[in-house]
Amino acid sequence: MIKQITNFIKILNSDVKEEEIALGIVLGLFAGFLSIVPFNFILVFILLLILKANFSMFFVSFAIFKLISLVIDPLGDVIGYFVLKLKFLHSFFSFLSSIPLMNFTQFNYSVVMGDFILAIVLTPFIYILSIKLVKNYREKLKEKVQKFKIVQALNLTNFFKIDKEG
Amino acid sequence: MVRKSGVIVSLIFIILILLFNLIFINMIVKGALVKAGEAIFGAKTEIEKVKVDLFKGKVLLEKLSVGDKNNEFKNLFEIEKINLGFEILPLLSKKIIIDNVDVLNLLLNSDRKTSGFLPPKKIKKQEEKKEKKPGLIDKLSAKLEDKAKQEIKKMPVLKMADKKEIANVDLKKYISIDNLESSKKIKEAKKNLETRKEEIKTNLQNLNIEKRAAEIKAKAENLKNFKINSAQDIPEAQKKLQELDAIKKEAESLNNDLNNAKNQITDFSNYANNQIKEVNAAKEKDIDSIMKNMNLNMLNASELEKALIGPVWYNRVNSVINLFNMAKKYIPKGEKKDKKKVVEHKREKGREVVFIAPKMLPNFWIKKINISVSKKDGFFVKGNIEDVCTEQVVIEKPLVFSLIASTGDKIYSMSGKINHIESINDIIELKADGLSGAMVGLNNVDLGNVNMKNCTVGFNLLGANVDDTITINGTIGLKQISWMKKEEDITYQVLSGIDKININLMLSMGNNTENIAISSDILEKIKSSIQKVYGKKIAEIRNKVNKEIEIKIKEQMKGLTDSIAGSNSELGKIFNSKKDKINSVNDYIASVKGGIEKQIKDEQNKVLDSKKQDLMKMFK
Repeated sequence: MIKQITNFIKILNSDVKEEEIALGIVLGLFAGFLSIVPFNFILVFILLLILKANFSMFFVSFAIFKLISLVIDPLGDVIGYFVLKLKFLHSFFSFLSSIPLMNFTQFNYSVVMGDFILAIVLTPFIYILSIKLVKNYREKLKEKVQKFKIVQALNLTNFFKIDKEG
Repeated sequence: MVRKSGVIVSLIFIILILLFNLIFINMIVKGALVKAGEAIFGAKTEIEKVKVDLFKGKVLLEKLSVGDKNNEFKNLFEIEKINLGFEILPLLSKKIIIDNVDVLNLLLNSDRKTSGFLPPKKIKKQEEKKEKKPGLIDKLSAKLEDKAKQEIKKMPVLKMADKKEIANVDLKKYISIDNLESSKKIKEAKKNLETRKEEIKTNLQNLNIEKRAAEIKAKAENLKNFKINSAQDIPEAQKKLQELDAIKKEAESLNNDLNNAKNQITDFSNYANNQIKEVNAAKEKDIDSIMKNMNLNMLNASELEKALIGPVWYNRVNSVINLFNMAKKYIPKGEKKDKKKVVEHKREKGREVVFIAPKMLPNFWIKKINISVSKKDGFFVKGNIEDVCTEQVVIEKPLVFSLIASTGDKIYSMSGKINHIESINDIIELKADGLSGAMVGLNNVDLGNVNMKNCTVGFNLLGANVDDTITINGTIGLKQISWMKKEEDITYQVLSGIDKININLMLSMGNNTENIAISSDILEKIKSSIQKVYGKKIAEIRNKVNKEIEIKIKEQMKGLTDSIAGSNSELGKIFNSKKDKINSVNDYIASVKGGIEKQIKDEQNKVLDSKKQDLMKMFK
């Protein structure tokens, strides 16, 4: 856990692009919400490998959203069940069912469908918010944070030397 | 935004996952089967060997055993070998389609060396997963369990020395009219009868028979003075007849209303008779309670009967209900809305909706299971099961099964149809003959000092679960019963004469109905046995108590019977007077109608005669 936090702060202080950090967080959101089905986690993980997303941010975000998912699963069930029972989508879902491997995502499980919809809805907000927060941090807070005694102390343990490493 | 190296790493990652699954497929399948078995049967599930050939679509299982969750060192069943062939392509769509399963040597009720119970942690976990909202089957189970708990009690231990207490008893100090249930029942019955009588009288009054009859008669009277003066008046007369028919219908409706009231009077009479029966039943209870207060330590025949038959019917009925429950749990009923079919499965945190499209395959389907036997000794099962499917609405076929196990003179068969295609329509028939008490768990029932040592059990039960109503009818027979005792007592003496019990059961439960009727042929046997053991003295005391109670309630009883006779007579008189009114109106209508019809006929004859004369004149 300490390592994850260390990595998280290192990345904030590094030159890693804000978009890569945001993408890592968004993929973590999907992994956290959909990992109730292991196959979905693998799919998101493959996306993580293919896309230029930040790994450390992915794992931090995954841990946070996994915890959140425990709370929002009942809401996901309600939303998912509502969507799955929409008559006009019936044919579309039947078609999805017929696609090989598609059933492994268990999209027809109300919790998966609901959490997926929630993740989709949250994606633009999380993505834009992540970029803004990282930018703001780097422009306004980074210098001030560096002056904190605790951070200076941590600097001695090489925590923030990544800044210099790029 | 794409990492080129990431694509290669992903491919390697996917290949590694596939390789892992291929290498460890046997272990993965074994783990899944054990987990599923333990979840379904609630007991330890073990498989010695699993061999999966993914490319040929074959699976071999060897030495599968499932423990009995009610019997620690017994298996519910064990199977020597299972060969199954599945379709490979549907696996890509997460569909398990098994064309055939060959089961060899399915042995029931075998012994096991180690405990078949699950560790407490696993049981707790399974219970947590169980559905919290009770359905109809759960309600029925709970109801039956309650009933069984009331009945299945330890039997009393009565030493022979207790018989001496019976000899000298002073009856009068035990009987007080204030404490008699029969006296209370008479008062209550009298009050209820009076209320009912007044209700019927009010209803009769509200019918307004006199007023309505007078109105009808007045309408008929208006038509009475109608006269036919010429043939031209005949159509008008016929109209009047139609009006009379309408008036007659009003009189008929009045009559119907009165007849409905007559039903209430008949019901009153039946109710009154039942009240007398209830008073007599209360008197019997009074006798029992007084005998009990006299501390004679009498054995209660009904209690003894219930304690004996309770475990027998409860276990059998439970096995039928468990089968319905499993069917309901694993095969949800289909829905057909707007020509589109949907099936819903409940899952831990939500629901799984299966969308049915033409020609699609269900998620799980075993087309045929053949169970065969290659050994001669043991309680092996043979038969077949067809169309085990989690979405019957897709295949449009019910699950059908027919299984039989036999060895020597022991036979156990199970057949039925589980139809959840669009609604629940299940039938299960269980038959057995020659089973030992131990095989059905009767030797484990602790009845106290006296227990069943052994017996031979046979039963024939037919259960049906049609949508929201479950019915189970049948008979259970125990014969060659032998008893064992911890010490010599009267209960043992009474029971040792009983070597045969027949139980009839009729059970039905729906959302609005509930009927559990269980009877046996041993009540009279127990009664006569008790009579023999206690001798004539008890019968004499019982008669004395009966007489004493009758004397105490004599006046009250006379009051009740007089009141019933008076009420019947009063209601009869009121009814008859109203009936007479209606009859007189009907007679009046008939007379008016007859008058008009006669006039029409006379006028028609007159016209015919005049025409005849005219014709005659023409020919002259």
